[in-house]
Amino acid sequence: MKYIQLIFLFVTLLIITSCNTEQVKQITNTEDYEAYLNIDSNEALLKAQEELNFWNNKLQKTPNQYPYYSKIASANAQIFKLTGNINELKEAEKNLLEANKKTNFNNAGYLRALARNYISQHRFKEALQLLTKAEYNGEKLEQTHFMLIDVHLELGNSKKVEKYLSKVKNFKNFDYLIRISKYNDHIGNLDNAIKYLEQSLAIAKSSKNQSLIQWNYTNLADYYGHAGRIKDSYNAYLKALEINPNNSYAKKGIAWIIYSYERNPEEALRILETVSKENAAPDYHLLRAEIANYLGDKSAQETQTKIYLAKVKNENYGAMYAKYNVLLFADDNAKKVKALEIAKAEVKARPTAQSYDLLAWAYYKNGSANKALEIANKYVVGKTFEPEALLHTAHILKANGKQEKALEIKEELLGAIYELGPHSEQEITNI
Amino acid sequence: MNLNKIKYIAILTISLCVASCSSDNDSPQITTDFSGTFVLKDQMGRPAINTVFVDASKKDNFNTTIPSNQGAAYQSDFQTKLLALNPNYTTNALGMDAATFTGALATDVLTVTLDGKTTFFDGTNVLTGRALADDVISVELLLIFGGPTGADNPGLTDDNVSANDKAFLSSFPYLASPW
Amino acid sequence: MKKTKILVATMIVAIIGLITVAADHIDAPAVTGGSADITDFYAFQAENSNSIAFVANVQGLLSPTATASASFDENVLIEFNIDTDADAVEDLIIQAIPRNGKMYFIGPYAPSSTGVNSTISTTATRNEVTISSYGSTPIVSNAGNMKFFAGPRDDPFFMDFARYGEIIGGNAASFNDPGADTFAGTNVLSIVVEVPKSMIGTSGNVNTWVEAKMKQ
Repeated sequence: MKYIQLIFLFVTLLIITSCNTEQVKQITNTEDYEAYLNIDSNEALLKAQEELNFWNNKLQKTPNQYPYYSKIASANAQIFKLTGNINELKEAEKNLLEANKKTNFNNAGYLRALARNYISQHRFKEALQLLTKAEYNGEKLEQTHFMLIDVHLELGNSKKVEKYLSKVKNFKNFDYLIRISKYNDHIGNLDNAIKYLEQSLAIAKSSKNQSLIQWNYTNLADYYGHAGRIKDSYNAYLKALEINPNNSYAKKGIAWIIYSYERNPEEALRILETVSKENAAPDYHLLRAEIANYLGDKSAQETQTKIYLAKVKNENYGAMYAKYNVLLFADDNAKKVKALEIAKAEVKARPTAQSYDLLAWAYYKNGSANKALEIANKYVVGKTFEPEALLHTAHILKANGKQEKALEIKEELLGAIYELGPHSEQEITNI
Repeated sequence: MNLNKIKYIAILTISLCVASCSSDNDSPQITTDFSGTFVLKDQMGRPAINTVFVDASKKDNFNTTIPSNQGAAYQSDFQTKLLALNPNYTTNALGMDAATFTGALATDVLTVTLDGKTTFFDGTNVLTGRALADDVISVELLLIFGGPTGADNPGLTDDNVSANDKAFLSSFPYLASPW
Repeated sequence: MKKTKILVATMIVAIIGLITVAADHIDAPAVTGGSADITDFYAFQAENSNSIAFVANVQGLLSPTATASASFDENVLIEFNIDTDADAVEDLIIQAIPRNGKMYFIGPYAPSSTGVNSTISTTATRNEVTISSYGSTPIVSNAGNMKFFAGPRDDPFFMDFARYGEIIGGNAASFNDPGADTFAGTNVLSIVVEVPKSMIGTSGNVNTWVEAKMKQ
């Protein structure tokens, strides 16, 4: 019997150690994702380029066939998604404008497609105008309503969001579920946000729609991360990569886990370097700058920040990087006035709690702690649950001598160190 | 305690361990499941009827109105649309006045004969089906714009695309192979 | 010293909260629903004159590249409706629904209820065909004098759709001659089913239409 006892003891130990992943810091395994780094060919990109060529050729042969413009625009948008090349997003806009002109801005499908492009460009008010036209036109009204939810959420029009959500309510519909999920995240109900994204995933799977499944996994991975379910988050990013090995967003997600949760900045940087090879989006460089800073590598931090700044100089980015620019410039004495300007413009363009947070932060960094507090109290506190905004608010409260309230937020923030990144740990402790 | 028993227990416990750690519950289902209710989203009888005769704001509704209700709900809309498209409409080559013509179209079903040639229109047979090669758009344009003799509005009665760009098959599945 | 240099030099403090994990979630994907759009419907006497062939096409304007990755939506039921007594209410239906690489065909049978909502009979005749993949020989299955196909095909529809749109939009006065076939060189996903006439009537006319129904 001794053997048996021994085996049971061994196995019990095995179960405990293998299952108790919450306590084990190491979640990722290079073997899981190595195959997705440095891949020779980008299948998805090749396909998108083929698609682009096909419709370009057809349009060239028969220039009056305006439906082709919208096909070209879809290919443009897909290439933008895969490469981060902003020119493709602008090309898509141009092509969709053509299709809309040919149909007198009275084709709901083309109006929605252009609105979607404007959402990507953070031109939310223009998107709203187009969607209002599409709503009046009335064709495929439900699809227009879904997009109106997206835009009103970005614009901070909660009443409208709720109105349209109730119009299209259907818990068996993918499009509804992903929006009710986003709304729940917005109002701070992360559990529901996750629940609905899990339900939408089931529908996407039963539809066998690979691009929806991919989208769903990455978004679910983000939410799992917010909820501290790092292992689930990691697995969901891997699932997205299984479908598209060039999903840069998922790679960034994994890099973040390795950096912020496992505190392995070197490995995170190695992943992000491969991401920058396939995707030109500026924000990857900011993340690399932050990790370099964490490593104390000032030179790399400088290089990456410069690359970011050089990239966002491109006017095609418009307001897409307004948020990052405010935060970056606010820390720079020479540019903090500019940060305030951008924040003001952002509030004007989309008066959300997050935008007001940026404005408050910019005021605070410009020495107007009072004004910052006024804005935070009026528009931020209790209106957003993004840890980033909470952190800013804590600073602003402290600067105004509201130590007690700052400490209340501190408690919450201690649970958000993973989301805010390793740098925040010391800073939160110091509140 | 013999060795086999130990092995057995070890396997059992290891599989227990594996099972207890499994977080992945989404293995694909093998059984074929046809359950559930399926709700009407789109429908079609004759080609392009919705495109031509239904206003954008009513397309969703038309697509989900069952055919037996379409006539009552849409004949008058169709007539308005017909007269907007062709203000000089009197009758068409089938001798139908506006009310008769739109009355026939508003119930969007495709009539198919079980007795012989199936064609949208071949000069002799009218609406006995729809074959792949039928130039249905030109037929519809002719009936909308062509007047009683088919000679009115010559620029609008034919889109001048009269055949498919790839030959159809004489045998099942009839449609040409994909490009 | 360049300006950016100064900026970077002044950034002694860590840019905390600058990058957080995905505070900006990715934009919502394009609204779905396109998979339930019927592009075309045909019904005609088959090669064997004792049969009628029905064709339903979905997902139009597919380029060759897009065709290779296009698939039927397993939540969408395609239903051929047959009215045998001229009241525009279906007396018989043939249902087609994809599952794991196969298209299942149920019927023709008399549905227990008509109209907007459908269920799939568990007792009616059920046949299946493997969904043909792009670039390979079409797979056809035969059963009880019926024939079945599902998969990508050339879009059989031809029309100068864009010119028509321009005319309706008041941007053109007449068709071009020659016109341009908007659908030339593009594919659709097709469902083709052929049934003996005896299964759907005896003689005279039947009324037919096709529906796309989404699982709720």
